[in-house]
Amino acid sequence: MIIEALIAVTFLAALVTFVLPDRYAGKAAFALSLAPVIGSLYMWQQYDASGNALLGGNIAFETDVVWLQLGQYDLHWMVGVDGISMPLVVLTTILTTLAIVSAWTPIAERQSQFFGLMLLMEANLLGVFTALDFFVWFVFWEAVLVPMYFLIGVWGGPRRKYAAIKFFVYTNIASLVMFIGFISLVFGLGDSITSLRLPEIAQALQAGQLGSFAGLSAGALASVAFIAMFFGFAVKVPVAPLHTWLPDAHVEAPTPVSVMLAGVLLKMGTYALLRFNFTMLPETARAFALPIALLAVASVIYGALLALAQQDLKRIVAYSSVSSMGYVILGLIAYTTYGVGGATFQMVAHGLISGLMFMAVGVIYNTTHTRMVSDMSGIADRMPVTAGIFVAGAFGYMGLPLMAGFAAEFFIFKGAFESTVMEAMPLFTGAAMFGIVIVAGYLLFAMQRTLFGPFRFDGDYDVTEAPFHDVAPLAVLLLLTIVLGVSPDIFFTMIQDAVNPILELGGAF
Amino acid sequence: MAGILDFAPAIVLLPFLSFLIALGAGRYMPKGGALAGIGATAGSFVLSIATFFAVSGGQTYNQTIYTWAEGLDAINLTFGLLIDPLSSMMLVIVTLVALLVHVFSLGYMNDEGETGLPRYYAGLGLFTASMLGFVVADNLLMAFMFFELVGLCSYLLIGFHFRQDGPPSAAKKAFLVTRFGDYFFLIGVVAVFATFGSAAFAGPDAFPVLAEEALNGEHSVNTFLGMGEQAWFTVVGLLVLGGVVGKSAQFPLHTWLPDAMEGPTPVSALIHAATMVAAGVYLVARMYGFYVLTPTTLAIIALIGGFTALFAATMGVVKKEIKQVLAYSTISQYGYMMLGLGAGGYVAATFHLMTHAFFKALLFLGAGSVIIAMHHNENMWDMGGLKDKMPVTYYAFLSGSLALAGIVPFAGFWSKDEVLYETLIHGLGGSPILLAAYAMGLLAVFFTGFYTFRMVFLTFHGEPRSGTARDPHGVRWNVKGPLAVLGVLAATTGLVNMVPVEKLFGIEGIDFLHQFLDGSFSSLNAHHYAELIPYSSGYIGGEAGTVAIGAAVSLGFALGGAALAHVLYNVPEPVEHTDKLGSIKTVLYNNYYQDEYQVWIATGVVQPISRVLDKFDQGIVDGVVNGISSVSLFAGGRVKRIQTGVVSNYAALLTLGLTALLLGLGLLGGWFA
Repeated sequence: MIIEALIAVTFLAALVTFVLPDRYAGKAAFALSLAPVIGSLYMWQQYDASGNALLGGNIAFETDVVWLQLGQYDLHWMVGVDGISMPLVVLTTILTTLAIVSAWTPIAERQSQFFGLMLLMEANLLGVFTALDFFVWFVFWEAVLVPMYFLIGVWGGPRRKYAAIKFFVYTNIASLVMFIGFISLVFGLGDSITSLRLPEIAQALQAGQLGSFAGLSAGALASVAFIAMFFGFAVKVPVAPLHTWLPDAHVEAPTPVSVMLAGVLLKMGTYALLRFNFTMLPETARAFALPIALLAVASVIYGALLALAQQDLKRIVAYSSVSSMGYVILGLIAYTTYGVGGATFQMVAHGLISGLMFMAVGVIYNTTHTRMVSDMSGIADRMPVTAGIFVAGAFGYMGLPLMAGFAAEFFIFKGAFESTVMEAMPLFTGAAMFGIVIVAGYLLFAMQRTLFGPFRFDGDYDVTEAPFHDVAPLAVLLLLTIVLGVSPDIFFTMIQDAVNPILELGGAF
Repeated sequence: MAGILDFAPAIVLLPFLSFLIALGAGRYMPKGGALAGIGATAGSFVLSIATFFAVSGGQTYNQTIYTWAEGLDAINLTFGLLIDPLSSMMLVIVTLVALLVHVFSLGYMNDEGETGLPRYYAGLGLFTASMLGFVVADNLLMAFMFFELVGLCSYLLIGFHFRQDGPPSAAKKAFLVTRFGDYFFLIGVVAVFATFGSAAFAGPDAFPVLAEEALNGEHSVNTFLGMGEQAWFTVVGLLVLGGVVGKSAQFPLHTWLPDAMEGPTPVSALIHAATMVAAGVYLVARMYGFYVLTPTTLAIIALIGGFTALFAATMGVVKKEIKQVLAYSTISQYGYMMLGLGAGGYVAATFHLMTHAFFKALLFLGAGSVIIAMHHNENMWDMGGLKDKMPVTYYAFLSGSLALAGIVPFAGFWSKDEVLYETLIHGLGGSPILLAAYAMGLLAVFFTGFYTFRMVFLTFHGEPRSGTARDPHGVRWNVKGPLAVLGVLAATTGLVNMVPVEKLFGIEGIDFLHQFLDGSFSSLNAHHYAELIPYSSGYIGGEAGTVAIGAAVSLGFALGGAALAHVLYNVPEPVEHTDKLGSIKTVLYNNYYQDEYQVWIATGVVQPISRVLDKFDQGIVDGVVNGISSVSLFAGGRVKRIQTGVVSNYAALLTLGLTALLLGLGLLGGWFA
């Protein structure tokens, strides 16, 4: 019941925040959001699952009751976590709380609605990561888009409407394609399933129950469904060349929304890829190893090169997310413990570090009201603490050892290099790894120009150190990044436990 | 076995503690946290000495102390300590230099009224701790991780004066160029794991041992891309070498190092003598058991080393700033170490690593003392005549210069001579590549002698050439003390390994370093490496004869260079003789345009590509997305016109639609057939 309580409390917190006066909304939202943080940490502490939730593993905090009936299918309310979803639940609650604090300064109007929507989004995100029935999952999945749409469209920058609609339409069309792909699998399974519970479907597919449907043989159906779902999730991740909604959304979104978007919403895509494509259709995934690895490498290198060309600090971080998510795809296709485990770990690590970077850019923006690299230099002279954390976060993004990003990337590289899905995986790995050089290039250049050198600022604002509540979330994220980098086993053990059954499916070692 | 070696982790942890103290509380402490750093490094130094003696007595230590990532159905990634003669020697070097640099910083930073001291001492502490962690690492992954942290610290310290334009740029360059090398290193680490399933340096699953056994056919290892074992090991060795070339500033990734002079001078001393730059060469020595298995890699190491030694020495000849001369001499000297390692002279290279650490730290601190005296003017053409005004600095600096130039009996002579000797005999044994590398190394000796004494004469001899040189700023004990200690070491450390004396006069048992490095783990000692070296030896006139000829020739070259410098520059009013080189000087002064082409790659190639890609992304990729939406909006706009709101139109459409449907069904259903 704890998952239901977690989601319900978060919904309730959203409702309470909606009706509070604007003056108190920020502080109240922060206080209320601590409840899910405590809840998720309690879950993590009590966590006792083993194996993969979809493949007959022992699911933690499981609830499974029949909810509705739809033709031959029972729709279940089924929720629960395993080693893949547990870290993401913790990430979601912590990052939401920190994003709420980081919104205190920049959000100056309609606060109660803003903070209410943030909490509403959190509730839906928790649903996405815990739902184990397709219907429930899909409802949460779509419901996440609604608060996000308003958060960008109402509190965003000058081109907020364009960005919000683009985000909504793009990801919604992607969801439709994914839905068609998944439902065709359901029809292909025919009478072998009686519900839309993900474990049941995954196990039926594993047992070879997939039949022909709409004139397609089982193999062809699996391929079509795989491609449709991959497309749908790849938009969300985003994988190049389906990424163009992302920079627009980030640039227009206010800082706390960017934090949530990069930190958690992108992980919905990679999480779903792992749960659906790579767990349910492993043989098809292996058959498509070459194009998937190519897409991964393209995302890493292309995203990084685009980041190099940007002049807006936020666009730099936005494009670098494309690059970082490329590593996740590379890790997933590797089908090794370190590959898939590292990819899952990267979801958490990147959530923390990209959140940190977006917040750091936001703190500078709060003071200077500009994000253009050319508008400032020597900021470190006036904002030493912010600059110090910015530097630390940037090195985290570059994959500095003993910070979470290095652990994730190293796991992925190691797992991808020794992967057996393709002869040429070492070459793809080596190519993708060049991302670590480019990322150092654009972040070091950006820091040199904005933070260092003689102080210069082309604006009318007084550049002084940010208030404590702006800097505190940065410090917390930095600390978490270091803790997770020094001791990745905090999550990595449970992650491996959950991903290892996936590897056995296709006969990996 | 509870012994002194169980305290080895404290050697690393103490400076880390001083980092935390200086960072957190440095601003509330006297001297900005310097005392914490001095205390910590002194503690580490004492423990290192104790460790060194324990190792001399035959003790060793190889233990995993922390499981970083535990693999389920996969291998564990761990941290551990490997204390053997090589690492214990390096521990002493690093802690001693770090301690002296901390003390010196009191004079260079505190007494000069620098701001940001807590940040400075925190950086020094982390730098020392990272390097010590790297030195004691028992596996390649841990080594890589601390290697990267060393890179971070160099970034922070080179860019210490971040309010100016130069230092942040130099810091960025240092990190970026070494990161480029580390990219290959990281692939190498991953490849080692994939090949051997272990990255340990020692112990039962040490990867050099596994590689050796695999080549002997005792068992097989994973190789990739269809390569055989020998070829694949060469690839892996070269990948790791990428990191070495970057950190040890070898051609073509040496360009960051002269720029790194933007950092405070004590930091330069630390970077050049004991930490960052030393890390690369140390790594080759650490996994030498792997490198000796691949002759191609060894030959490449020797060639890179020989070439870099010569190449950098020629550039050192024309520099104006005292620190620039020292920077190029560092590149050149690390070239010798690489030459020694590539030529199979493991002990010789390690020996040179040690002597160089002392005399280069000395020279940098001496230069720092001069810079204090000159009110932070580094141009040697504004100096002159400082000899009488700062005798301690002068004699210490002279000791270091004699060592650098390789004049007997100073430390550098013995180590450089042994490197060249090993190269010569293995070259004579049938390796023309080594002979070519030897020739370059030998020629570099001449240039080294020349630029070293050009520097000494311009700085200390002749008449003062500026007001500050006539009335220099005094320095205190905290500057003179470290100089005196290092001055003595630069003069005497060569005595630990007088191989030529042993060979010429038949005095057995004075090659102490050889004996020391022969102790410990059988797979890690010098004896084992000597057996594996893929070279044979050749001599001119017997072993003693070759020793004598080699030593005489290299000493002759060094003295020749020094003599030329004496003639040209040890005069009351020296002139810039290198101007006579004309366009050659321009090329040398511009470092053979190495910086230009690397900057061009970054800003002339990569940046335009990224801009074109950005245009492509906004125009084509996003254009397609927006195009699809335009098409649907347009189509929607047209279809919308059907909705006129006029009921008779709808009725007409309904009727027409029904008719069309019926017609269609009828045609398909065969009603009209």
